[in-house]
Amino acid sequence: MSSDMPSPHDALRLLLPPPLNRERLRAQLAGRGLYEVSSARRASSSFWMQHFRDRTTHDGHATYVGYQEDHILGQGWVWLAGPGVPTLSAWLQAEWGAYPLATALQRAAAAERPDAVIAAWGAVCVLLAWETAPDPSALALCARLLHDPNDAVRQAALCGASYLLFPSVTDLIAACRDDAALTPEVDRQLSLRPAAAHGSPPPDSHEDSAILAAFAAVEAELAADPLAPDGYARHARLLADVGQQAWALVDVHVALALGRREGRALGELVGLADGLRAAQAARALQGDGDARAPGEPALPLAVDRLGLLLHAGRFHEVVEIADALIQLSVASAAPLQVALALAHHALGRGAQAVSTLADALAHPLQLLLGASPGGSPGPAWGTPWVDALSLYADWLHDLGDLGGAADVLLRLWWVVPAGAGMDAGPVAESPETAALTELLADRVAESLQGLRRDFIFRRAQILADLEQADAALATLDLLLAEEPDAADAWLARAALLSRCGQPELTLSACAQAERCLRPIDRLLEDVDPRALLQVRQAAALIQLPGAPPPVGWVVGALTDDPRSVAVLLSEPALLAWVATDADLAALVVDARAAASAIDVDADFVEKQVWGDRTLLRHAAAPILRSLSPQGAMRPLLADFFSATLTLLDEPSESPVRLPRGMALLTSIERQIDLLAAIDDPEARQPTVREALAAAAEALGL
Amino acid sequence: MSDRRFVLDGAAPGGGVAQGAFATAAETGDLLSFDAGAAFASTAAALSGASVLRTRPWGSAHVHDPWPSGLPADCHPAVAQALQVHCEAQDPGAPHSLTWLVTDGRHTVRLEAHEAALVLHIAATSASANGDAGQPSGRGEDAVVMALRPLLPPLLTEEDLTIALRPLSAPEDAATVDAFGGAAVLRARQALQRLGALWFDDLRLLDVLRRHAAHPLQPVRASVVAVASQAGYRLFLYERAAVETDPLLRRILRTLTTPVPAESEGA
Repeated sequence: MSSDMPSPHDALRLLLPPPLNRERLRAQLAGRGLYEVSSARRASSSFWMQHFRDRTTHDGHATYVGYQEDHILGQGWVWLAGPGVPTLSAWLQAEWGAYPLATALQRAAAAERPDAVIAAWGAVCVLLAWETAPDPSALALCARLLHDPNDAVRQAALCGASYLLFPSVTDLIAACRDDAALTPEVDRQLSLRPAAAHGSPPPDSHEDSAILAAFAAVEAELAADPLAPDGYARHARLLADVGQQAWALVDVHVALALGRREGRALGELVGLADGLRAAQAARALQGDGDARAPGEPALPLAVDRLGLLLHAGRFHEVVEIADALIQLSVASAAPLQVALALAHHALGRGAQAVSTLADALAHPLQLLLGASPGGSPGPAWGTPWVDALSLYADWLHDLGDLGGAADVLLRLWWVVPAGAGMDAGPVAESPETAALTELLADRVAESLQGLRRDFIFRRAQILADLEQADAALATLDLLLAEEPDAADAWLARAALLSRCGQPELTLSACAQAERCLRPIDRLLEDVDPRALLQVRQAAALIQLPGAPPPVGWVVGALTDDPRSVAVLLSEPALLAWVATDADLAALVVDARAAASAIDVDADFVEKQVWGDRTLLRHAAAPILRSLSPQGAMRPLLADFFSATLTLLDEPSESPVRLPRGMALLTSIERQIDLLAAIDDPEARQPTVREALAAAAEALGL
Repeated sequence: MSDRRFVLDGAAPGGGVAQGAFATAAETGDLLSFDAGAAFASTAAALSGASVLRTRPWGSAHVHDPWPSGLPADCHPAVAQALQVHCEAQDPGAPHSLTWLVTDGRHTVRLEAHEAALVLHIAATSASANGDAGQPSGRGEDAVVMALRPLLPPLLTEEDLTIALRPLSAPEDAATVDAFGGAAVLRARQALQRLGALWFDDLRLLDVLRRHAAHPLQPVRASVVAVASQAGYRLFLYERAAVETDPLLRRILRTLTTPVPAESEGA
């Protein structure tokens, strides 16, 4: 409604009986000099609103008419305000049969058939809702209908009463709690009504309000500064005040850990913690079923706090808090142990991390059903248990325990295939995992589908490190059977075959990888896959008697991406051959320098043509990986980078390079603006603009 | 106001291009069945190819044309798709619809999918609409209708549908009802359902339903209940539940009147 439009509260309100025809009403109002003003769009399909006013004003005042339809109650009504009201009102009553609330009440009281009663009640409610207080006859009618012998009449009475937010009506509704035909609608309606509308306030309502306000204030404080010990201390005291000792213990330990490192005086908090522990112990002795230490139900709070601190890098605090809470825990310490393990790992205590995580994994069901502390640096595997197992495998691998890592992955293997619809392979399933496999299969199936590829590559890597090449190749073949055009799988296969000293099969795999390589594949990886391919091809050719010297492959690889020199250096035969050619050897030296410079500081890399391409790819790869494969930004930027890289192959003095570069940038900026206008979440990310800046710099714009 | 609303009638042979989905009811003899999804898809495709309409429709989530001006000629397919998804988004509280701008820029054509029928709504844009409702003009809308007729099934107006309802108003004695035969009543029920689509947000529909709410034939009363349920006339359903005697309809009404979140505006 416009700002000068009166409210229906202050207007004359009249019902319009059927048949209603809003177009006829509009036309007739127009004939009387009232035109439609900009009205509020109908809120939902159940309502319709139109507003009119006259063009001429009388002593500076305009006449307004509002027309509304309520489809739930099946009624149409008008409100009138301004100097033209008497005339309009008389006309509406004469022409349309419009009538006021008093008449509606009389008609409702006089109705006899149940359907007529209900219809009349709807007419009453649609106007009564705008009154400041209910008419006694209206209340009497409401009470009569709420106790009518016909179920449908009572239900209709309750439906209409939902419009009447008067305390007296609330009391009438509350009195119907025992009516089986009306509950739980009665409870639902009472829960939606303002507290002030209740006839009699519940006991301690003022206290409850004060406590809720105190909690809200502390939670706001914690949200603003999640690393301030005072907030946690206050929250702990509030929780203790309302009898939530287990929850209070979580926050008091958080306050202690944070406060200790700020040099705070902790006597009071220590006293609070002692008191809470004592209270918990006393309740446990009394057999109080709720006397649980931070296991359940305070576990979610503990996991939330520890996750926050892990993300904030406060690993020492996590160790202190998790240690304290684990000692108090009875049955649900596993998620806390995962958090502790993550903190140990972040602090460089690898062995402790592995040992703690092993303890957590001893209780897989707790992790399966409980919360995850987050902060995990690895991929999200869909359940905390799978997360923890994955981490366990990674950390064992880092410690050099390849056998242990492979063992863990094989344990995971029995879950993943069941969830991802894959064949488990030749390893016999152990009894301990059989039950979990079945339990997890449905729950994780969907989430694991997307991680299956990652798992396959990791398993193949571990098996290759264990010198089990055949098993590693078989693992890759599982993926290739389903994705015969997976360039990354062919490349990994080529690397394995090269390692096994099978040059002909290596070349065959390289050919397949080259066939499948898409432009976006070259942009998503840190090192250009085509460069890696050429190194593998060169290494294979060196081993084939009679094959031409792979000069072009080596030059091509180091030109495409100098970082491929790392793979070249891992091929002894190829390296030995390169060393015999001075030019190639110099190229390798330059590539090593460029690769290490890129890793350190890209600004130091000399800007030659292949430097521009490598720099742009260096900038593009992490940005593309950060974008969702399902969104529009990733394919848009991938094609943009591809086009820019192609343009970089043009000589720098080419007359088309600059104008085409400008056109590319202008077009993509416009398209990103379009995506930002429709609230694409990635269109406004700073990294996207950084990507464009990198491209512009590479093009010399 | 010169808005035009029509129900698309797919039962007549020789209609427009969208016969496939519409033909189902006529072929099976079940006039009350309607594949709204398939009919909408085929009709929308036909409208998208109409030379009188601009090519980019928008969904019910948008009041005005949300398509940005100046789309680059080399718009990336991913961007084009993202824009299309955004612009064709639907408001969950409104019927599924697509709206096209007429090439004259002064009118819009909206295709709505309802349970029982497709509805075509032609209106003047807010920029061209005359602010004085006392001066209706319909020539522009008529011209748009003329241009679209060859592409669509026959268009039924509210007058056509109210005429089709007449068999329901016949005298209530059984002989007369039998004399009309089941086919006339079936067509009348179909007309009632179609009127429910045409007037889905117009309270005139409730008047029509009330007129036939106590019809002696149970299938007619069932149609009344079905249309009332689709239109959201909750209190009217309570009215029916209070007096209905047929056991099956009483069970249906009991289910329909199970409490749902009230949408009261309150005071």
